Amino acid sequence: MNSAIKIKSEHKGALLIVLLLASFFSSMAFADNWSLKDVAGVKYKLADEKGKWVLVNFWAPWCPTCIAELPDLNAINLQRKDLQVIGVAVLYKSKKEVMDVAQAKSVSYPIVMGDEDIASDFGGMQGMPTSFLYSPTGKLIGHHDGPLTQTEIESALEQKPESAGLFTN
Amino acid sequence: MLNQIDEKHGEVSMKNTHANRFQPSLHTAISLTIAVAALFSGSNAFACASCGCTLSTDWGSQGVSTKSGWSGDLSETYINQNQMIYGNSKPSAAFVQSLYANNQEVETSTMTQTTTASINYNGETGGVSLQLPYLHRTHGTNGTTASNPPGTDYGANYSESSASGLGDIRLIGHYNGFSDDKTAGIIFGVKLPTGDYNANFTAGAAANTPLDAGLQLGSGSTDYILGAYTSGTFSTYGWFVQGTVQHSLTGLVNEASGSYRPGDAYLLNSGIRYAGFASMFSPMLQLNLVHREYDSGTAVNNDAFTNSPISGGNLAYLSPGLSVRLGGGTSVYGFVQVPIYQNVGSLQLVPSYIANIGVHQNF
Repeated sequence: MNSAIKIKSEHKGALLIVLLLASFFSSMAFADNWSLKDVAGVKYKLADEKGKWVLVNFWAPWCPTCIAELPDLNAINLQRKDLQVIGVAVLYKSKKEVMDVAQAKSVSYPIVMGDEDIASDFGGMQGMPTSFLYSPTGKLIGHHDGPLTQTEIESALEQKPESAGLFTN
Repeated sequence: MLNQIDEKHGEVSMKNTHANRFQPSLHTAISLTIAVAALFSGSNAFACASCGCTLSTDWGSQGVSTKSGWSGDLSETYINQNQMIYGNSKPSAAFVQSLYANNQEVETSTMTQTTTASINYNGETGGVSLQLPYLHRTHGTNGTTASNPPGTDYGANYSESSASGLGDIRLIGHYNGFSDDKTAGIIFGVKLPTGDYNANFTAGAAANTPLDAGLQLGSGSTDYILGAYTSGTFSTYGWFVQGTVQHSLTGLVNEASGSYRPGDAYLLNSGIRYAGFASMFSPMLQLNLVHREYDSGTAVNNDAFTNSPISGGNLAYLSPGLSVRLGGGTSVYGFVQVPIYQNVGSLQLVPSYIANIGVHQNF
C-alpha cells in the first residue's frame, strides 16, 4: 500500500511538471513578438507599429554613452513620422533616476521601465546601449551594439538598412 | 558581465572601465533579487529536522531585475525521508532492535510533496509575499514493535497515514531601503496555523488514533520570521547570504496527540550564480545550513537511552540548480539539495536528496 501511494504521488508530480512547462512554453515571447508598456501605461506592440520603422533602444541611466545618444534619438523620433523610437531603461536604481535623465535630455518618445527578462526576450545583449531596428513590415533588421547618431540612422534608412551594416544579426 | 560600449572612429570596443558606475547598479539589481529570494526561504518547523523547505529558490529564477510590480511563483518540492540516522550516523540493525526493545518508536518512511503558490509584490524599497502551500504527505511506522525478520518494512504493528491539504500560510515582507545601493535588507513575516494538525493514522494497527504532531500538515502554531540578507557581485557572478529565524509565538498547542510547540528554526543560506545580463541560462550553487531546536510538549517522544526529545538537529545541504528564461517574464528553475552533513536528535528519517522545481512569472 505504501509503494502504491509513492508511485501515484510521483506520477502526479511528473504530470504537474509537464503541465507547467507546456503552459508556460506556450507563452514564450521572442524578439519579434514583444509588447512593451511605457511609464504612462501605454502598450506598444510590434504588430501595432506596422508601416513604421521601429527602433528599440536599451539604455541605462548610469551609462554616459547611453545618455549622450538620447538627444539624437529624440530628434529623429520627432522629425521622422515613419519611425518610432522606444527607449527601454534597464539596470536602474529607481524610476526617478530614469525619469530625471529622460527629462534632462527632453526625451519625448516612450520610455519603458525594463528589466533583465525583457532584455532576454530580445536575445540578450553584450553592452549598453544596444538598439534593435525593425522594418515597416515588422521584420527584425538587426541590432547595433553601441551609441547611434541621427546621421547614422538616417543614412542607414536611406540605404537598405540590411546592407548598410549598421544593424547586424 | 554587461559592459558599456564605446564607439570611436567606427570601431566598437567593449570596455569595462566604467565598472564603478556599472557595479552599483548591478548591486542594486541583485539586492532586490535577493530580497525577493528571501521571501521564498522556507523554514517550516516540524518535528523532523529535515522536513520543510530550506532553499532560496527565487534567487535564481528572478535574475537581475529592478522592475517593480507583481509576480507569481509555483513550485514543487519532493522530500522522501527513507534513510534512518541516529545522531550523525546510520544505526546498525542491532541498535535499531535495541530501540524497539526499549519501547522507542521506529519510523520507516515519510514522503512529502509540497506545492507552493506564491503571489508577490515588489516596490523599489521593499515588497510582500503571500505563500500558500499544499501538502501531500504519506508516513509509515513500525511503532515500537520490531519487524520480523529485522529490517523489513512492515512489523506486526505497522501503521501508516496519508494526508493532503493546505499547509501553514506565510505572509512575509522585506525592506531594503536603508542604503542607496539596496544591497542589504531585512525580512519579517508571520506563519499562520492554517494547516490541519489533528489528523489520525489512516491504516494499520494505529488507524484512527492521532498522528504525531510533527507529521501533521500544519504545526498549529503562529510563528514570526525575522531575518536579514546581503548581496554583491564579483566578476560575472552574483552572491548572497541570507539568515532567518522562525520562532513560535504561541505556547504549547493542544493537539489530538498531546501538547506541542515546534522548536525554533535557524536558516543560513548562501549562494553564487552566473549573473550574465539577460542570459537565458543561470546556473547556481547554494549552501543551506539549518539548525532546528528540540520541539516541546507531551506530543514529543523522547529517546529511549538519552531521554532527549526525538526532534531537532543540524543539517547542511549543497544545492546545485539552474534557472532558464523562457521569455515573456517566465522562468523555470530546478534544484537538487544534497545533504553533506546531518546530525539529528535521536533516531530520525532523512532524505538522500531533496528535489525542487518551479516556475516564476513576472507580470
